[in-house]
Amino acid sequence: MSNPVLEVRDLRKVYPVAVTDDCPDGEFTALHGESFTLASGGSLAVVGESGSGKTTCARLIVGLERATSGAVLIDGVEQIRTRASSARRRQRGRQVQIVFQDPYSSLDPRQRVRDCLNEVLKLHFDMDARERARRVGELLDQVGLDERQAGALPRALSGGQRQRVAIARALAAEPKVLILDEAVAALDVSIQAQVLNVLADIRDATGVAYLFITHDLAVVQQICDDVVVMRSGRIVERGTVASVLERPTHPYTQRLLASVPRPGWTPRRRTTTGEPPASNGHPLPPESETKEPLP
Amino acid sequence: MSALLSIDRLRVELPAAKKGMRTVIHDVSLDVQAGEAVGLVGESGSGKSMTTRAVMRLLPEGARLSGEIRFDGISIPGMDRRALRRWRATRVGMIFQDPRAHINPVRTIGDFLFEGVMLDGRLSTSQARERISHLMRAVGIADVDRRLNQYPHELSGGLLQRVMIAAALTTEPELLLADEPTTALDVTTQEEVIAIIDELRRERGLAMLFITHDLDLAAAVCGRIAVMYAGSIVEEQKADALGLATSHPYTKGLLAARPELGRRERRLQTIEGRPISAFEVGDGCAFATRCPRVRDRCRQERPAPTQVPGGRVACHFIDFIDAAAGSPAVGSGGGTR
Repeated sequence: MSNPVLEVRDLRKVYPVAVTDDCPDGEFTALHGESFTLASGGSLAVVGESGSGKTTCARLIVGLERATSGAVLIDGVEQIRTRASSARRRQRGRQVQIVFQDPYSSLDPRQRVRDCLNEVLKLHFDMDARERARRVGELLDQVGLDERQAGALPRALSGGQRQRVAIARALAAEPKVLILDEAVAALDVSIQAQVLNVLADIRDATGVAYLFITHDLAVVQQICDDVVVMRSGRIVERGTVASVLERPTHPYTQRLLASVPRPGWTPRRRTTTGEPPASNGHPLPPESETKEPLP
Repeated sequence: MSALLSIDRLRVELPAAKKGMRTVIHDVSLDVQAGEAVGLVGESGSGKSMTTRAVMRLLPEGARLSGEIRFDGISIPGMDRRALRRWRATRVGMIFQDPRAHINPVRTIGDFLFEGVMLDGRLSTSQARERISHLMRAVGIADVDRRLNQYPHELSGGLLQRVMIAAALTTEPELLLADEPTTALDVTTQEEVIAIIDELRRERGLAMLFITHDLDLAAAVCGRIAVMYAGSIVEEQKADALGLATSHPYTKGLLAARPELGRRERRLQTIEGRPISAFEVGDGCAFATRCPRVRDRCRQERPAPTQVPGGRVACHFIDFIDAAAGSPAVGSGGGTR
């Protein structure tokens, strides 16, 4: 196995919050000093429900937020945690890119698709106009958009097409790592399948590594090699997708898997009617509002 | 037997942005028997939510409706305001996707729950209190007294959706309309909430129309499933017959496109193109632009629903599909470009 392209080391993020009964010290720890690595050209899923810390993790890696402690290493080089110069930020842009859940709010509504990609190329590469036009065509082809869509504004595109634009824009910088933060969650099933296939093709063709932030285990199985399962800011289980999804050892992973609707699935209540859950013995607290670290 | 809810040849048009009318529902006919759970499944823009809005008479201003919707034999579009209010308040309960959008944020949970029961007027205050605490416990809310004094923002999404379920049941309705009730919830919370809805529905012998984009979820709690595409029902089947030989090509495509646990495909099968809106449908079959089995006839003539074992399917070539049993109905891969 080659060296990891991305390493997250003891990453910790604490947010100041209002002092309440639930939170007497006025601090909320979103990420409890966790570590993982992403192999070069690999595909790692970070799985968890709301409040698990998976999105915080993504934001720290791209540099949208600063970690309280710990380090993010790309190709073995530690990313600085202090305020970066624009040159540094541009350099980081060549290494890590991110695609968000909602393509509509992450695209400029007044910028045509072609211009949107062209702008990224201008920023990062020393290319003349002809080279850029060729590269824009290549990127559009890679995500399955045609000439007509290249001249369109985001509002004229469907949700799936917009997400393809967001993916093409991220790839334009030729990053080593592409973070996909719930990037297919809002798409209709028939469109989601198309985008997942496009993502698989792109990884085969370019060798870019994916960090796939998602709550959807079926999607993980389809597109990832490795997985870390997060809960309340902690990694509770990790391994290859095949081993974790087929032989989950942690009760939370087992619970997540059991909750996925599938043919023949029967939903079950995990809490007893009317009675407060037992303070011990019950493997999991029943309410998302009481997400506590597991025993 | 006459159905509890009967939707017959429903067609809905809405005023378009500039001028004229746009069709959002072409032809929906669907019966829900007393005590029966029926799933209405479709992708965004298929008209599934608009169908429930038509049933509840919550269509936007200027909407034009034709066809008939009957509840227990009474025409819903024909009700006067008083009858409509009475019907909504006592005989039907609704659960929506986003509970926060449907609950007054400046009133307590208790106020919200009591309002419904007291407006109904059949119960005394103490009876109402008893019923509400009973329902709160039934939906798995411990510590009822504290919760009743809390405001919506103090509750998590899963907890608030349970409150909405309790609210929908306070007047002991006969029909539950659930519009994507778990879509905004985490998957473990979804399981919990779906199980609660299913359990309470069965105990009370309630009928339910369950709207969702998730075929597997619908199949888990409904006996019968109707699949909508671009404003029409393309298939109605027993839940366990979906995706079998006589299923509609769209349903088969949907089932194949969804990644499934325990099965990693080299490539996912896709349905070419994108879901179209109801107003874009021409004279032919709504699915003709994406169907892998499309023929000339599909583009010219809209297929009428055909009886098949276990349900009905709107496809000209249902025999043809039948003959191809076992082979996937949708081409793989290539459609992504």
